[in-house]
Amino acid sequence: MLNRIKKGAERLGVLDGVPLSGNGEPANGQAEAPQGLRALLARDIGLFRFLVLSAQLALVLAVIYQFRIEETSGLLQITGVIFGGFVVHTWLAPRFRLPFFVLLSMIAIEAVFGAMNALWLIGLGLGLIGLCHLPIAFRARVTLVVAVGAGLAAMQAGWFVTSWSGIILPILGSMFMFRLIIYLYDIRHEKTPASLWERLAYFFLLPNVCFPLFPVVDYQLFRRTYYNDDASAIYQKGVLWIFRGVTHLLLYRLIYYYVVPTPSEVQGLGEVLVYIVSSYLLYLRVSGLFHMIIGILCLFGFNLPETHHLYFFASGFNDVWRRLNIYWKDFMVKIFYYPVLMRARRWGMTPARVLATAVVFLATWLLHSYQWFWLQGAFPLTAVDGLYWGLLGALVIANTLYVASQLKKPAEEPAWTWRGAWIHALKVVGMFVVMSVLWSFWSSHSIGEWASTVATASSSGVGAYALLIAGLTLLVGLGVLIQYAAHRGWSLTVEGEPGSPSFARPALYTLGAASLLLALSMPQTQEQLGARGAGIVASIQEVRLNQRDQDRMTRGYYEGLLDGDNSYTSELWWAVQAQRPRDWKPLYETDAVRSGDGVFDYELIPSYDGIQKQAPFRTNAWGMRDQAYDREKPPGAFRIALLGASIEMGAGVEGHETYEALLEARLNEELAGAPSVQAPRTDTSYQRYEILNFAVGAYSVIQNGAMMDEKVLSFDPDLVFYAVGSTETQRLLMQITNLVRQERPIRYPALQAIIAQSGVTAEMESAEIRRRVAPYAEDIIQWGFNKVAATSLQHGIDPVLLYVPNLDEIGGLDRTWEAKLIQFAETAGFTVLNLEGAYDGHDKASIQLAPWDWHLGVQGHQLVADRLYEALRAQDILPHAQAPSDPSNPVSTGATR
Amino acid sequence: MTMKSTSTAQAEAIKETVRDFLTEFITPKEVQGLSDTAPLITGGVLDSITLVELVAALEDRYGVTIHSHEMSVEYFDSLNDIAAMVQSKMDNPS
Repeated sequence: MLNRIKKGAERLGVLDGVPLSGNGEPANGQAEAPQGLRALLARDIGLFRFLVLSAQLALVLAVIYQFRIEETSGLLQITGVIFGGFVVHTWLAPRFRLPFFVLLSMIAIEAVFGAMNALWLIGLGLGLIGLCHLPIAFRARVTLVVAVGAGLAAMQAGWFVTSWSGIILPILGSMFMFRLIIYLYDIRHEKTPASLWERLAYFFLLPNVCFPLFPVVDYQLFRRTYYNDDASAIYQKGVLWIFRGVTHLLLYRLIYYYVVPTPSEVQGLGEVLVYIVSSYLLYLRVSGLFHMIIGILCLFGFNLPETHHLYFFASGFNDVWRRLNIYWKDFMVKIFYYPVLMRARRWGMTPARVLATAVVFLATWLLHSYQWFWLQGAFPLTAVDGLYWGLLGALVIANTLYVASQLKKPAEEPAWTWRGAWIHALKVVGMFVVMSVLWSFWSSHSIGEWASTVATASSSGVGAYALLIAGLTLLVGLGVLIQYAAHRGWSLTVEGEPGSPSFARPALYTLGAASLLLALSMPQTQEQLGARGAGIVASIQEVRLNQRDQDRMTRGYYEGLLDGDNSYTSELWWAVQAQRPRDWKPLYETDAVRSGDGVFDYELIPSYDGIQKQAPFRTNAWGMRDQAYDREKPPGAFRIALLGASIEMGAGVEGHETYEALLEARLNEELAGAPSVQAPRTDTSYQRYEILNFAVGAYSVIQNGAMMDEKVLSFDPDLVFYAVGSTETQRLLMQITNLVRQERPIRYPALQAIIAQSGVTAEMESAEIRRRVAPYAEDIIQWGFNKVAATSLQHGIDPVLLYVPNLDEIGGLDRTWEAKLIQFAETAGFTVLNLEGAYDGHDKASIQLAPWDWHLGVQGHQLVADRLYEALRAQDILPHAQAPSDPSNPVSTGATR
Repeated sequence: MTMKSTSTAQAEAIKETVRDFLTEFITPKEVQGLSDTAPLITGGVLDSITLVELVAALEDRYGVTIHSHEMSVEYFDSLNDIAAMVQSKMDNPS
């Protein structure tokens, strides 16, 4: 009882603003209120430690800034708030610290969302907390909270929309969706009432504003651990964990950019292994985020424990459950496991354990979808999710029953034995492999896609399997050595021994390692690393999608794969998904298309008038996204046919804003018709230029090859522009998958033969078809180029290939593919206009259609139009357009020919 | 014997029960080293499986009822916490 009284006093101490240490004594043995700043600093952490901590924090935040860590989440916007907040908070008298923390959280909300949205978010949050404390029966309060939650859910589902709902509901959801459950559970049994500031601080946690994916912080734990240790140790732990989070996130980027293969790249055991293991390693993103979040909270005295603990070294299913997202496990145990087990134990402990664990995993599955609903607006309940959680639950149940059956055996003295070390290492490696397999399954889009990807391992020979076994054995051996080192007292930890954390060791480590990373981020240092090293370091300083997610993004727009895609492990994907409006649909999902014949899975409906990606979208009588043209070429007109895909079609921009329309207007203004003031023309052979836009979103070389015969020739063009880009292969694989699965007739024998060689059938999964066709992609592209060029030349039409760079090529990615496409085009007989450099001097964000859509926006089209115009003039491709005498001003001399 | 000494003896008996219980899960040496304030849950000695077993043992031994919301660090993180909680229930059966 005395202890309880002491604990109560401890809480009251916190309420009164006098943080006490864990043993009930005032922190650092100082009982009296501070007398001025010097007294405060001397009493709390001391000036020296304050300066060391501030220096570490400044360095770590600089690393975050230099490496653009969580840039898309808004973290960079609040680094100043975090640093300034820490400095002021540390100097404040303890009784002002909680109110200051709440104020700081609200400032951060305002900084990220603006004043009006912040008012809505804070107002709604206060309302929800207020409902929990209405002077009515507990059940009535819960009912009210659920009713208000249902109303907000209706808004989140898009049933009714306000100016603020789409912006703040994900964060409001993140703050309240789980914490409100815990809060209601705990306040029902609350012995020592919390202060208003404690309650507000629990919900308005500073980092939450830029981290929607947030650990489920327990209310009791949150209160219990507030300044329950030496203040400098808590702050030091905070800085260290923020930095650890940064290292996890940088490792994640390395793996995400350089290791994760695209499904079509997986062709054997080695790639399967990389695919499986990298899927699990990508979880570093979540553990990195959670370390940063808890680290930030530690800076303000919340001495919360780890959310993850060496999870790649788990030795069993229960062990994984205890190391991976520990807060989630505790939440499940508290809200579901104990209540179910205590009720069910009258049937016997074994059935009770099975039932309680099964309920936990069922709840985990459903609550993940519930979480996704609040963060993204969709409630995905997929077979993959169900199977994953079901399987993991079954394994944990089996493991729990086994562990429970061993409980009554007397514990043996733990002693080092080589045998024990081998067994433990074997368990750890085995568990890592099993978890990687399960994780890769969970991360896949469908059971079939995963199965067909993994099945490619069967194509590898015995040698590959022998190598795999040898590699795993090596890993086990390494594990044994690590255990031996630990047994001999060697430790790599920077935090000091448990119970006696060191200050100097983690401080020196953080200062040193953060300085090193900061130096690496500087161009001067990178120059010393060689081209490849510098390239790698520079690449992890930017946030971009890896090849797999670029594929998914491209495929997603045309195959409707974006909805319900619950990837927690892609920084940008997460941001992209969160912002994408619900009516932002791929072309084929809209009413602008109808089913086509032959290789045309779909085609644009003639004379369509509607909205696409929030922009007006009209087609002419021939089904072109263009103005009206007669089929017969008017006298005096120079006619160009443009083949291409969504960029050429102008996805997301208005008809007059496409680079095709802009170029046409400029050609007519400067090279045809009446003389222009800017560039007087000198020849009047052509009165008018017409560019007919035959491009359709997602069309590949197959559709564009067929388009020549079936549509273009009848319009009698003088020139064909065939626009291609770096997504050529992705579109090709996607279109072939559709053609094969729909068993559409392909009336080109050469193309039929290439596809037949791949051995694909209509019954195969999409991923399997893509994988089989991928090795033949270059052959098919060459076929398509040959088809367009040969058809053009046969009819006296000049074929010109336009290479329109993708926005992801800004900054200089691998140009191998670009060079290959150009080589294919030249082989086919095209004149090539490479528009590389069109975006020079512009950042991607200003050119891209939207953060969640990689197509060109209005400015991007203008840049391409300008670059194309210059290239046409420079290469003397158009009639009357002469190469300029002044390259810096290509139109200054006018056009003569 | 005074009320205070009875209470202290009872508390010691409860701690001894818990120590006996723990010998089944951790080594006798570790049990001997456990102070009355040593962290059991936050220190990793008790987990969700062993805590349930301990609750069952305490209920059987002292005839008290422990609720699921009480299976937390607040009541089970040290021998002192456990003794205080069980004693409180014995003193105020409800």
